[in-house]
Amino acid sequence: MVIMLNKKIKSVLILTASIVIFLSIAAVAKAATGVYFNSTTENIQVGDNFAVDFKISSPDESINVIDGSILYDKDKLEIKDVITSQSLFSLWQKTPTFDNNQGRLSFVGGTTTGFEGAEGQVFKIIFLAKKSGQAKVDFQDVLKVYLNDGQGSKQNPWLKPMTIAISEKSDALPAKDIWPSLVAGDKISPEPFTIILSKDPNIFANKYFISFSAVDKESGIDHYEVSEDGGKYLEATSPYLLKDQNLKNTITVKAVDKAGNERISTINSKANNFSNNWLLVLSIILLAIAVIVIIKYRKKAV
Amino acid sequence: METKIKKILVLTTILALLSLFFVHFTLASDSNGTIDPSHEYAWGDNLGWINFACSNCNVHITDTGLTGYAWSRQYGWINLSPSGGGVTNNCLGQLNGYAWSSALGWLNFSGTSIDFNGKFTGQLGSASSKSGKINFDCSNCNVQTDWRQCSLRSSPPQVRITSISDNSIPSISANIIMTNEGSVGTEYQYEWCVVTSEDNACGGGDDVFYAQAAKFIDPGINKSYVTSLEATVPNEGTYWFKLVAHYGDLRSIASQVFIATANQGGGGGGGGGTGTITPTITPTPTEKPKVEPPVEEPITNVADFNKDGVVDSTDFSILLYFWNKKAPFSNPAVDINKDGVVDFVDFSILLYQWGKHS
Repeated sequence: MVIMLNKKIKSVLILTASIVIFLSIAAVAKAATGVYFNSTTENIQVGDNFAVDFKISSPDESINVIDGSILYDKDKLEIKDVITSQSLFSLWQKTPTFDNNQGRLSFVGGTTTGFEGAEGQVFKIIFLAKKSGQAKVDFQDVLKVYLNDGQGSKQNPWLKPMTIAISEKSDALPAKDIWPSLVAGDKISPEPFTIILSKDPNIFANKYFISFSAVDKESGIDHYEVSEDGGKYLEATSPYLLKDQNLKNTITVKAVDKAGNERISTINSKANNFSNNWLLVLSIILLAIAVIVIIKYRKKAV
Repeated sequence: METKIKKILVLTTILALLSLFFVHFTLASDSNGTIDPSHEYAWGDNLGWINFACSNCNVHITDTGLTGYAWSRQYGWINLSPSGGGVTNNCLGQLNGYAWSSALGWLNFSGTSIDFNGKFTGQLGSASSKSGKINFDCSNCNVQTDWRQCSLRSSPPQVRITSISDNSIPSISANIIMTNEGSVGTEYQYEWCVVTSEDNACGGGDDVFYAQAAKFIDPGINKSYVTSLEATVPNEGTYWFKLVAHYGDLRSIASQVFIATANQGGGGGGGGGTGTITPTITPTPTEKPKVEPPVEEPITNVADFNKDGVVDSTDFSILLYFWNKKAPFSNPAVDINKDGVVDFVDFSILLYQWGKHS
């Protein structure tokens, strides 16, 4: 009888404990991923240059890619620039690209470490207020965010648009221009970066190409230039197909930030190739020696 | 022994009731918060400690702003919601607007915020002003509230279109799931439509089909709203089925491409299938046999890691997950050049193949 009672009490105890655990879990609400805009600039007038931050919040799940477009009122607003230097996304399949005739800004960015948290900076948009009135900044259907789970799981984040009030120009208030403080003040070159020389059957028909990516923490990278022969630099993007497939030249890549500061990185493709070939030859020689030694050892053993 | 177990039982039940009370308490105050009396001080360079939870401060944080007073021993009361001003909150914890001190004048809260743990952050004022800088982030500063950002409490539901269950015209069906990821039950307005391009938003009079409805959804994955939505599509073709859920001026969108086909007696099945009809060709006996053109090798996109036929941001996400990790990989395809590491070379190949269909 006592054993029976104990069993009952144990069952009730387990049930109660389960309820406590369940309630504890239920109390921790999972927060949704969302994207929104933020601007601290007040009293915007026609002619002002001001910044709007594009942000992402993902407090409970790690995300690694964002892919979408922003639409803005092209009659009242014009994008002067987009600054990615403080972005949590470091790799851009499509760096933020805007078209002021369409009022559209598109981007595909990724982070190699994932992002989980609130108020993550995606990028900063510098707008020029062209005309007075209420100017809407919204998201194009459909903005995609992916979980950092190795499966490419797509999230459909909540989207919060923004309305900016632009008033007529008044002499009482000085004109705002965020641009100089963001860009002109940048005196620091992009950070050092490496150039990787490769060839692969899956890209450029197995021809030699280079990959590169630099970071500039102040104004952000504006563009890259490549010189294959020590001569004229030509604007280029990564991956870059080498013109000289015989690898006789030194290749130089110049990363230029929005303030015009430069960082140059160089790779001696000939040496690189020679190094690879030399390693191959060395490996074959070592292998041959090993085979000879084994054969001699076996002969001796016989 | 039995008495001991009974005691434990009573104790556990009390704990359960307490946790119930705690859950209720948290939910009741996260939209109209107060200041935690054990975390109540900011620091002003010229003001010293500023108390946000003094006995008569009565500070409240709502989804639109702050009310009540902060207290400076040196300069007295700081009114957080004076007439003609007031500290505002944009529901995401970003503060703005002005508080008033009769000794210091207007204090601009622009640049301060409440983070997702309820902690005030940032600083206001400037070194040159009479108040000097007022800081929420100094080493001993800590002002905390139980108010929580709207997005953490209630937000548009997570929306998903799990499949196009019937793609035969004229009656299309899609299976959908809406999950309330907040902490309180919410009635959501939602709309669904069929459009001819991914860029075309629901509404605006140019949809092939449009409908809207509302649904109250309790929070939690196990309370998700799972249903099938119908749409009328008169003609065959490629379309996008879209689902949009609204919460205030926020919205969540899911989209699924599908090919509408004539009713052949078969089901739809996930938006796949082309529905094309292959005409039967009868060869003419007098024709000379034609020389078959060389068969082109099918394009193999090695960067299509999820094998959905296109290299896109899904593959980009999969690649980044394995970034700088070394073999073996749970998805061996990510190491495209098979050098044992996922890096810029693999990224370059992905960029090269971006948008290509296999």
